[in-house]
Amino acid sequence: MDVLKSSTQLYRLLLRLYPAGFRREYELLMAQAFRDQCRVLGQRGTLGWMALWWRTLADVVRTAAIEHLAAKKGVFMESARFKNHPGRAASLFFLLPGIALSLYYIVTISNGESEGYFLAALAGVAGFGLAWLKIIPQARPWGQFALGFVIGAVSLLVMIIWTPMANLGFLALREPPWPEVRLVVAGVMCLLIIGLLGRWLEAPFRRIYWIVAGVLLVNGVVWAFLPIGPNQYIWWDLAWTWGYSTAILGAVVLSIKLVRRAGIQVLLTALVALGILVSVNLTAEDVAQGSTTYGQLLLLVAYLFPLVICPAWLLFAPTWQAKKRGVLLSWSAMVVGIVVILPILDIFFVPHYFRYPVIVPLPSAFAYVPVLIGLWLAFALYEKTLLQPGSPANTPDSPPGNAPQPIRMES
Amino acid sequence: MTTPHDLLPLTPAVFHILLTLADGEKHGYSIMQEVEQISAGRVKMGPGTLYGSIKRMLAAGLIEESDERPDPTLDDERRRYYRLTEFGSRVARAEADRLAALVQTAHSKKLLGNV
Repeated sequence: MDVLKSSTQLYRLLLRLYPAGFRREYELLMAQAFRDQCRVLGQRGTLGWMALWWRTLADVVRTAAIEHLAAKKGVFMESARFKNHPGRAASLFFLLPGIALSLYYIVTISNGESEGYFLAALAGVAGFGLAWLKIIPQARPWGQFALGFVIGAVSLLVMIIWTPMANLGFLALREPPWPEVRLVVAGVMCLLIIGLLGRWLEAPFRRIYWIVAGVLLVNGVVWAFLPIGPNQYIWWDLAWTWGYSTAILGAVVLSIKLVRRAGIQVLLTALVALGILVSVNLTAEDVAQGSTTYGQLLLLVAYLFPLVICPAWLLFAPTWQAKKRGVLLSWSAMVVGIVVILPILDIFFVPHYFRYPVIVPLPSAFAYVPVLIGLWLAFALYEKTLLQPGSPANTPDSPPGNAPQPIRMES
Repeated sequence: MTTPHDLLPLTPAVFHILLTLADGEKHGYSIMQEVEQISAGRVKMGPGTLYGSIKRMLAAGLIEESDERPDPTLDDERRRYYRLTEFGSRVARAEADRLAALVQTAHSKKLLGNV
């Protein structure tokens, strides 16, 4: 057995532990240096080989970890350059509606009161207004306030108009009079969310995705119209469930496409969040049956998106574009979570008697649709006004220049 | 504008590599050998440590790749040679001065001697 050859092969295998970028640049050189070491130390016999491998293994384990950290650190350093970016603080203001609404939910659900539409609207006004004030720092003071309140007022109007629409038998009532209205509203809202985000991604979806979504939506409508069977009420309920589920599926297909286009980070975050959502849901079913705590828990989990994932993304995403994606997708994920995933879990996993606490606050989730519209608008305007080439605000996201990088990563 | 003092203190690996390159350009394995030699065997640098340091030193402008070969007929052309930049020389001198000052302090506190 050729020890030199097999050692080199094994070392080449170990080199896979390093980050891909580092490997591309230095794999051959490292393998060559290792071969040179083998030729010298291998002459000393078994002890030489043992010493070489002991040293090499320690080196690989330590430096592979360092290189992975360095790769991450590069991301964090880019993120740090975003620290004084005006958009950073502005983006955080988008959290206000979520925070306010979460608190209000906790209070109102505990007291058995109805949803907090009004507070949602107020929070939306505050959030949009403040965000607007922050993203246009160059504007004259009066102009800032005027613009802020105009945007806020528009948001308020949209929310006030939108939330009763959302309440129009879609989710608040278990057996509403017009099932077709539910489906149309569901479809329109799903398409609106996805369409907006699709436009934001600046690339139209391929026709096949719209066809799939359309077929599923039509399928849902058809099933919802079929009051058949020996017990009409049961079949109607089944059809409603099926129709609603297929409509959701259409939205999910498009959402997956959206997530895939946005990147693997988004997909992983969504999967983790979904996992948490499902696990909490199932646990909550066991421990809090019949209790309103169940609904509170689910909603709080859904709020993980805007309250936890969104700020984390803002802090750690490397570029302005990535931060923008993070904010928009974390909010839209929350909307999808409340509007789509929770009803699915509700329908398939929760005994009928315990559905009520979950279903009641759901229409308020649609208050977030204008939040998404506002986010998209704010980002678009922000880019138009501040991220023009040559603008000082663009520098935090510009590629690093020739400035020396820290070299204290290893010893 | 980065000054040499902004990069201090250097890690032992980086300083040793700068020292080995102070008297001319070298390829990776010869740097590893010389580091072991000048440290009397106390610093044994593996390929991971070497090329990780080289990567960061290139980025920091301390060293650069050399296109020339000492003797192309005797050498593997796949090897890469590295040499100090002007900035790298200044950084190495600044680090040496810093260490010398530390040694001076240790000496004044009577900390030098056989251990």
